[in-house]
Amino acid sequence: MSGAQRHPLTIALPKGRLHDRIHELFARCGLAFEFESRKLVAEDREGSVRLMLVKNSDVPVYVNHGIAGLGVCGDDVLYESGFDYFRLMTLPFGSTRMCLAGRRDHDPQQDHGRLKVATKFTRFAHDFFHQRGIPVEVIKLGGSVELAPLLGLAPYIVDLVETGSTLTANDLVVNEELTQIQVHLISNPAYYKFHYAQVNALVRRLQNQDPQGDADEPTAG
Amino acid sequence: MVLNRRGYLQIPQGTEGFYLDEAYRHKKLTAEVEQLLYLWGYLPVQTPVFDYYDAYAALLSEDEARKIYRLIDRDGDLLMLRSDVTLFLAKQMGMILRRDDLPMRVCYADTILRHQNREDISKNEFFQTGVELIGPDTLDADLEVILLLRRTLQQIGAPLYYIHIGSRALFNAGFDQADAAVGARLRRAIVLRDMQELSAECTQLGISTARSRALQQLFSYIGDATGLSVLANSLRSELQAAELRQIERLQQLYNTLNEADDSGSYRIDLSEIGSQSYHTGIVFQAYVDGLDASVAAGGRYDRLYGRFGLDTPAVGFSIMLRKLQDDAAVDARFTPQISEAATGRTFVQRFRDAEARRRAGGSATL
Repeated sequence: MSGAQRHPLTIALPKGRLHDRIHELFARCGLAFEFESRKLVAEDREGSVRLMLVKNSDVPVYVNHGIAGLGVCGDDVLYESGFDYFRLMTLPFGSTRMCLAGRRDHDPQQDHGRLKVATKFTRFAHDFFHQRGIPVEVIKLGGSVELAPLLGLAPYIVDLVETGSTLTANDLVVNEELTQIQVHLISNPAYYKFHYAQVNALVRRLQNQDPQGDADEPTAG
Repeated sequence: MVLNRRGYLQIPQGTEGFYLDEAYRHKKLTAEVEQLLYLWGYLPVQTPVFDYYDAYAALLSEDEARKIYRLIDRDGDLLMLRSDVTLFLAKQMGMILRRDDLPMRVCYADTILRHQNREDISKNEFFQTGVELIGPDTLDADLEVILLLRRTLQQIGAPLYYIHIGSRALFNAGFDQADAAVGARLRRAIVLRDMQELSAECTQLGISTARSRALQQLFSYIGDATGLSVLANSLRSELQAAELRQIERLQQLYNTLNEADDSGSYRIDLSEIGSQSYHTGIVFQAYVDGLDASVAAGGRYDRLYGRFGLDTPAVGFSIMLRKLQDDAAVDARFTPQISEAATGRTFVQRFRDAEARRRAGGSATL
């Protein structure tokens, strides 16, 4: 028998640089929340959303498994996860660039037509260069990717670049901007289908930055 | 030696085992569903575990083909393991059925084997239970199959659920100029409700901005028949006659479904356009509260059987009982009875006591 009761929408939020901006956005929309000390789950006062604070790269995992129906996540993390999601809206902050960078003094002639890159984003790097017919050797790193060219692990890196100051400090330059990265509100497809009216109401609220929200629109697509 | 044996303790991806309480639940659940299907006039069929790959190759998308396990038999022929019961059934039924046999109602409960990425393991389903109604291409046949799915979900005690109904025929009417590769990209954009991507593909196809916007609104619609009517009227100037006909058919289907069954379980969802390359008409999926993927999928495939001899339409669904059986409400109905030890001083006394307990509906061990 159908006929769903109203429960808070579940949202996985990433720890780290985006957290304060997300908190501000939700507060402006009347969905203020606070994580109590050391707690990683919180609800807004009106019980519209239940938030889970997880590691950035784990957001797609929680959403894919339906533990959180929705999540806030960048294109970079989404691509690496390999899962399919609905991108419900692009958030007005957090955008950055995925770039190919290398040592300022590196001579491309030494590449002999093939690239060797170190990166955290191995799936993206592999697919990006393969789709362009460029042979690439991808070395997986967990962090401090800028060190790889300096220490001779690989002449290039593929990494997120915001201001470029970290690159400059390590005597690296951007060789090419590969793609723009934006931050999205995503949904597990089955979760969206079941709760579509409630999710659409949340999206409208976030898009309009409307503290009151509006009534659900049962026939909205 | 010990290290090698440890390696073999893993189960290869693409299959699974289930045991004891879990296996009991699965068998009881399957038996209950099969009993219901028999009552609706569906007869069981069993498809082969493997078959010649070339018989199906043209029906598989690149992605589907990648997931299939292939092997070579002793004569050097390329075989494939059963990855989708509908495909194997179409060939078997296409070969044995005659036109006089139609309409034919068949049901199945079989394992399937296909590769899934390790990370997708939670969405794996290696057991399909389902039905096919072969022969009629009528609205009544579509209604019968959707109502049977709803009745099946009700029978097994599934918790809250909705059946989302869309139409591949509507998609085909809207994008008849797209070739196979573009069609696949368009379908992906719609299924993922990626309207930005759909807009880009429309531009590539030379579709006007106004019509592109209309198609984006149309294929993102979820709701009831009244809402669809309002939307279709507002977009009428940008829609083609073939599209409007498919919309009317969906509205008729939806209204009759609700007249036959007022449970409120149905939604029109035009982003449902079918996951299989062989779909041609209505398509649908069932979504259950709290599950991370749909639990049942089905639709019409009017040209599939024609590839195997008998050119006849068909409509059907398959349901993923394994996803449902872990739900607490379903689980509670299919828990094994606790067996009691029979009492008595001698074996014969214990045997008689056990038989008495069993006649009374209990479970007893000797």
